[in-house]
Amino acid sequence: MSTTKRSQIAALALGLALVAGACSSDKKAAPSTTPSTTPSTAAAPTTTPAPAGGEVIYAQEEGGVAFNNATSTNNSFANTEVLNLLQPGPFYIDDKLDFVMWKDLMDSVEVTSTSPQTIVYKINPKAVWSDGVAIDCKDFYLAYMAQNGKVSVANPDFTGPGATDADGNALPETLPVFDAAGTTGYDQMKSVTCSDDNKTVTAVYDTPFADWKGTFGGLVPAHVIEAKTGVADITKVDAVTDSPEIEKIGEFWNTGFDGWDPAIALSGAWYKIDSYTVDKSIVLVKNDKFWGTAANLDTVTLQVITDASAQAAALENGEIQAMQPQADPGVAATLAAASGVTFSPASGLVYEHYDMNAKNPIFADKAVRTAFAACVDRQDIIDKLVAPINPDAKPLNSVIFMPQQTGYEDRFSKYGTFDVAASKKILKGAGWVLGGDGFYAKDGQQLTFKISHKGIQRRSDTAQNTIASCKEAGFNIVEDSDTKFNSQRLPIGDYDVALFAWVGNPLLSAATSVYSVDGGANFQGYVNQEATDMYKVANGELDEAKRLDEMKKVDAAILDDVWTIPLFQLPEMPAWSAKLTGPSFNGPAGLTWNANVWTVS
Amino acid sequence: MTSLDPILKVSNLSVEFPTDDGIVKAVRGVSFEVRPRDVLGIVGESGCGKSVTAMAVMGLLPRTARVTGSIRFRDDELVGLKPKEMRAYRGQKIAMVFQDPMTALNPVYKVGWQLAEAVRAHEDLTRKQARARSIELLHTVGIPQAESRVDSYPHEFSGGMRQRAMIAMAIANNPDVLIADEPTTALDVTVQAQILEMLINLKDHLNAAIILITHDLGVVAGITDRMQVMYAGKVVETGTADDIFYSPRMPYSIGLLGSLPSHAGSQERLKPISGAPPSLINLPAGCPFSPRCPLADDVCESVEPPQVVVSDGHVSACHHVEALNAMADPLKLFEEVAT
Amino acid sequence: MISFIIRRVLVSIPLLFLASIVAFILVVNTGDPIEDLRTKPNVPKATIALREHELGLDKPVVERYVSWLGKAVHGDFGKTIKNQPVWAQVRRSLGVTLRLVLFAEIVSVLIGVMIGVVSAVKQYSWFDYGATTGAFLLYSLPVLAVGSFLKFILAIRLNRWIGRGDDPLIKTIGEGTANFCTASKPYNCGFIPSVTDFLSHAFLPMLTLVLITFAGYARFSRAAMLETLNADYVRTARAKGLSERRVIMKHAFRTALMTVATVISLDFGALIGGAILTETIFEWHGMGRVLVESINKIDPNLLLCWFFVTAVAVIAFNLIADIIYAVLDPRIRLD
Ligand SMILES: Nc1ncnc2c1ncn2[C@@H]1O[C@H](COP(=O)(O)OP(=O)(O)OP(=O)(O)O)[C@@H](O)[C@H]1O
Ligand SMILES: [Mg+2]
Repeated sequence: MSTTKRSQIAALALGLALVAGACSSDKKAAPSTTPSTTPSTAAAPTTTPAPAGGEVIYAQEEGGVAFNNATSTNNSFANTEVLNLLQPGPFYIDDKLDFVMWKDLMDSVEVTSTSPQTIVYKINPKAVWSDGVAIDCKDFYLAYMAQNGKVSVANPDFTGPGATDADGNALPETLPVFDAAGTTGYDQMKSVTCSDDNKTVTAVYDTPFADWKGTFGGLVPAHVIEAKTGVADITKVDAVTDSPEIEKIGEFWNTGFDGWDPAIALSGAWYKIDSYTVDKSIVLVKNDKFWGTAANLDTVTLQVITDASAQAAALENGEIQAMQPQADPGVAATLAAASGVTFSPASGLVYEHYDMNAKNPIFADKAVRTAFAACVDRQDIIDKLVAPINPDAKPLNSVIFMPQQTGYEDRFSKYGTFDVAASKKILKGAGWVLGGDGFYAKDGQQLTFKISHKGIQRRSDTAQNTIASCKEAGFNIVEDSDTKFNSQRLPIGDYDVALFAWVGNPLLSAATSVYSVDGGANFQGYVNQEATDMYKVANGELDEAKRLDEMKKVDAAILDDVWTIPLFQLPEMPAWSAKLTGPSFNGPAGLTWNANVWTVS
Repeated sequence: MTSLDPILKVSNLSVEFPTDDGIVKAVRGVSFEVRPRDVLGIVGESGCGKSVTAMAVMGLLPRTARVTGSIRFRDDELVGLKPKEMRAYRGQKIAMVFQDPMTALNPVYKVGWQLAEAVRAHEDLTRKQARARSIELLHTVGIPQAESRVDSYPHEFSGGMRQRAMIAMAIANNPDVLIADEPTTALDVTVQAQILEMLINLKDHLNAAIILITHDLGVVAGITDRMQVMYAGKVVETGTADDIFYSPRMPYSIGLLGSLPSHAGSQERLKPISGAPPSLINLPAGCPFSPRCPLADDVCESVEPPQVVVSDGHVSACHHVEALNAMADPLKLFEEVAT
Repeated sequence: MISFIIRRVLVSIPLLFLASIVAFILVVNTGDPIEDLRTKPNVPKATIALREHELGLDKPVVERYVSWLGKAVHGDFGKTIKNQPVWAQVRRSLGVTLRLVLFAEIVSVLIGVMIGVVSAVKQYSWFDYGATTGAFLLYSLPVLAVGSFLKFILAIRLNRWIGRGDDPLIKTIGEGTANFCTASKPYNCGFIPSVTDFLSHAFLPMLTLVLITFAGYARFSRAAMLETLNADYVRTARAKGLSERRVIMKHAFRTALMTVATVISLDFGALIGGAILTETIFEWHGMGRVLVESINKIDPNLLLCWFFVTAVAVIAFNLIADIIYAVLDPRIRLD
C-alpha cells in the first residue's frame, strides 16, 4: 500500500507534529552551528543577494488541508510542506536534523533555570502576522493550552463504568477538548506566562524535558481564535481546566483552521496564501508584512500530483520544478535518465526493523536473538530493495539517532552483519542442536517462529529474504502476512517477530515510549529497567553535551540487548529542475523547508 | 398463351461463390425465359440454387459471387452491370418478394414509409403523393383500413399482412417481372392460398411475368404455365405443369411428386427421397442425383446427363428417359425399388 | 413513458438501498482509517478515543450504517476522515470527470462509429483489415503505456522541439496550470486564457481516452453493422432499387444505431465513476481519483458517496439506454 511511507512520516508528527511548523527558516543564510541554548542576540540577516523573482511549482503527493498541523485529524507531511513557508515557530529543523533557532522571529531563547526548568522566549517586536497583528505570547499560550492534554469533557457515549464500544473495548469516561496529535513536552509544563507586553514567553516545566526545542513549533494565530470565539484574552483562560471558553477555543482549534482561508490561515513568515483550490493547489505569494529577509521567488505553488511517474514526467516537461514522490524504482530510473533534472536520492527517516516479542519464550535466550541478528542479511536486503533507488543506502545501526544526526555511530554491525557460521556457533554454544531436518532444537523445542507484517510487497520480500538466509543458519521461520497486523495485532503484541517501520525523529526523546519498560509503544514487551532509567535521565538532562553522551549509552544498551534489529531506511527521491538552485533533502520538514532561498534561472 | 417476345431471358447462367472450403457452384447453366403474364415455377429442394438464381437476376448477389452467362431484360444485358446501373432495374422493372415477411420489412419504419420509399425510389413524387400511392397499394393487396394501416409498424401486422405489404412494395412501380421467392412458405395454409391468388390476379392487372420459386410442388400446381425442376444448381427437367405432373421424365421430379400428399394418394404413405443433395463444392462427376436415384447405373455415376428432349418443350436431364417412357407408372418408381 | 420512468426509478430505490448496504459492509471491512494514528508511539490514547468517537468507529456497524443512511437520504454525505465535506469533493470531482470524459467520449463515438460503419460496409477490404487490426491493437494496449508514450513524444519532446521547453505548450498534468489563474493574477482568469490553458492540459488525456475508447466503439459498431447489413430488410431495401448510400444509412445504420446507442449510453453511465487510469496518469482529480483515494485512505464516507453517485449514474444511464432504445425501436413500448 502506497500510503505507508507518507503516513509514517506523518507519524513522526507525534513528536514532529509539534515540530512541523517550526521548520521554517532562512537556513542557508543562518550561521549554522549546532543549536545552542545560549541567547542568540540580534538576528543577523546575512543572506547573500540572489537573483530575485520567478515562480516554482512543487509537487505534493497529497494536498495539505489544514493550517493547524497539530490536530490528529489533519496532521500531515503535506501540511508541513506548505507551512514551512508561512507558519512561525521559534526553532526549525535543518537538513542535519538539528534544531536551529529562527532568528527572524526570536530575539532570544534562553534556559534561565534548570530546576525547575524554565525557558524564556523573547519574540522580535517587529514580528507580525500577515494581518499586521503581532506574533506574540498569546500564540505560544494557545499552543500550550491546546496540547497539554489536560482538558477534557464528559464522553456522551459513556453510560457508566464498564461501558464498552462495538469492539468490546472500554469506553473512556471523558474525551479531550483538543484533538491534539501529541502532547509531548507540553504535558510536562507547569505554566506558560506572558510578560513584557506579550513579547516574552516564560515556560516553566514540572519535570525537566531536554527536547523542549520541539515545542511551540507551528504556531497558529491566537487573535484569530479570539475574534472567532469572542474570548477577549486567551491568556486569561485557564489552560488546564474545562470551561465554556476553552471548549469554544477547542472547537475552533480542532477544525476552524481547515482549508486555507487566507483570512484565517495567516502567515508569519516569507509567504502567504494567495489562493487555494481544494485537492489541486496552494499558491503562495510573498508576504508583504514579513519583517525579515525576503525570499527570492515571487510565488511558490504546491500542486497535488499523486502519481510519482506523473510527477517525473511533469518535471521533465517543465511543468513543475521540484518534487519528492513516493519511492519507486521505475520512477527513480526515469528521473536518473531525464534531462534537465537534478535527481538526488537520499535515505529517509522511515526505517524498517524487526522486533522480537518477549512474550515468546524462545527469545528469552539471548543466543537466539543474537544468532537471529547474525543470519539476517541486511546488506542483501538493501541491495535488492533499496539500492535500485538509492545506491548509497547502508544498514541502519542505531535506534535513537539517524545517520545524519550528531551522535550517530555504528552500534549494531557487530550483531547485524550477516554471518551464518557465527550464527550457528552462537546457537551451538547455547546448547541448541542441529536436527536432521536442518533446524536447530533445544529441549524438544524447535527453533521456529513467525515474522509478521501488514502484507505489503517490500515487507514480504524482506521477510522472505530473512527466511531464506536464516534457514542456512538452522532457523525455521515462517512468514505471516496480515493486512490487519499493524492496526490490530501489533499494538497488543500479538506476534513472534514484527516487521514494521518507525519514523526516525530529530527529537531524541521520541523513542522513549518504544523502549521503556511499560512504554506506550513498547509493543514487544522489552524490559531493561536500567536502560529505561538511563533514558529518563537523558530526557531530563538539559546540558546538551552530557545528554548526547547519555543518549549514546541508551542507544547502545538497547541495541546490545538485541531485542530489535534495525534494518534500513526507506529511500526518498527528491528531484528538481536543473534550473533551480537551493533545494536540499530534509526528512522531517520536506524539500520546501528552505524554499525561501531557492532561485530559478 | 401469349405470342409476345420474352421479357426476361436467362441463358446458361452460372453462379460460383469462392469460399474458404472451395468454390461453391450454386447455379450451373440455368436458362429460362418469361413473357408478360407468364408464370414460371422454379422448384427444387432446399439449397438447389433457386434463390441464388433469383438474386442473380436482381443483381443482389454478394460481391464475391462470380456470375457468368447472360440475363437479358428485353434488350439489355444485366450480367456485368455496375451496381448503380442495376438500380434502375431493381424495383422498377424487376421486383422481388422475399420468403420471410417477418424479417424482410425494416422493423423501425412504418409500413407506409417503406412503401413510399419504394415508390419514390423510381418516381419523382412528393411525400404526400407517395403516401396516397402507398394507401392505394395497400388497398390493391387487400389490406383493410389501408388509410390507417399505412401508419402501422411491421410488427403491428400479421404475417399474411406483412407479405401483402411486401407484395405491395414489389408492385409499387409496376414491374415487368415479379420474382416471388417462396412467398408463402412462412405462412399458414389458408393465407398461402389467398396470397397466391392475389399474385396471379396482379399478374393480369400489371401485365407482368411472374417467376414463382418454391420447394413445394403443391404450391405451383395449377398456377404456373411452365415449370423448371432444379437440382444441385442445375435445371434437371423443364416442361409445362402438365408435363411435370403427369409425365415426369426425371427421377428427381418423380421423387418430389412422391412427397406430395395429393399425388401420392390418400391411402399411401408419403415417400420422400432418401439421402441428401450433394455438396456443391465437390460435385460428383456423373449425374448429381445418381447417389439417390433408383435407376442409377455406372453411366449415371460417370457421365453428367445431357438435356434430352422428351416432347415439345419438355426437356429432361436423365440418361434413363427411355426407360421412364417405357414404365407403366413412373410415379411408382420409388416404391418399386423400395420393395 | 412517464409512468415507465417513474416505475423504473421506484424499482431502483431498493436496488440502491441494497447496494449501499453491501458497499457499506465492504467499506467498513477494508481496514482501519486511523491505523496510522494507533501505531504512532506518542499519540495520546485520549486523542485516539476522540477520533474514534468522531468517526463513529466505536459504534456497531449497523448503527453506523443507519446513521450514515439517515443523513445520506437527506443529501448529507458527511465528512471525510480529514474532516472535509464529502459532497463538495465528490461534486467537484464529478465536474472534472465530466469535462474530461464528455468531449473525449463524443469524439470517440464519432470516430469509432464512423470507422466501424465504413469497415463493415467495406468488409474484408484493406481499410477494414487496417481498421480492425488497429482497433484491436489500441483496444488491447495498456492505457499506462499509451499515456506515457504520448507524454514523452507529444509533450516532453515536442515542447522542446518547438522551443517551449521552459513554458510547455502541451501539458501532462492536471486540468489547468496550478499557478495560472490566482488571486494575484486575475488577468489570467478570463475566458480566452482559461480555455487556452484548459486545452493545453486537456489535449493529451483526451487524446489518450479517445485512442483507447474509439477502438471499442469501432469494433462494436462494425459488428452491429455487419449484422444489419446481412439482414433481410437491407436486402429488401436494395431490391427496391435504393441507392447504396441510402440502404446503408437509412436501413443498416439506422437499425445498428439501436444497439450502438444503447451501449454508448451504458458506457457513459460507467464513465461517471471516473476514467480511473487516465485520470491517474494525467492527474485529473476526478471521480476515479476519489475512488482510489477513498480506498487507499480507508475513507468510508467518501467511498460511499462515490459509490452512490456512480450507482445513480449507472442506473440513470441504464434508464436512458432503455429510453433511447424505445425511441429508436418502435417495437418496444415503455408502458
Ligand atoms: N454467398 C454465398 N456464399 C457461398 N455459398 C452460397 C452463398 N449464397 C448461397 N450459397 C449456396 O448456394 C446454394 C444454393 O443456395 P440457394 O439459397 O439458392 O438455395 P435455395 O434453392 O434457395 O434453397 P432454399 O429453399 O433453402 O431457399 C446453397 O448450397 C448455399 O449454401
Ligand atoms: Mg431460397
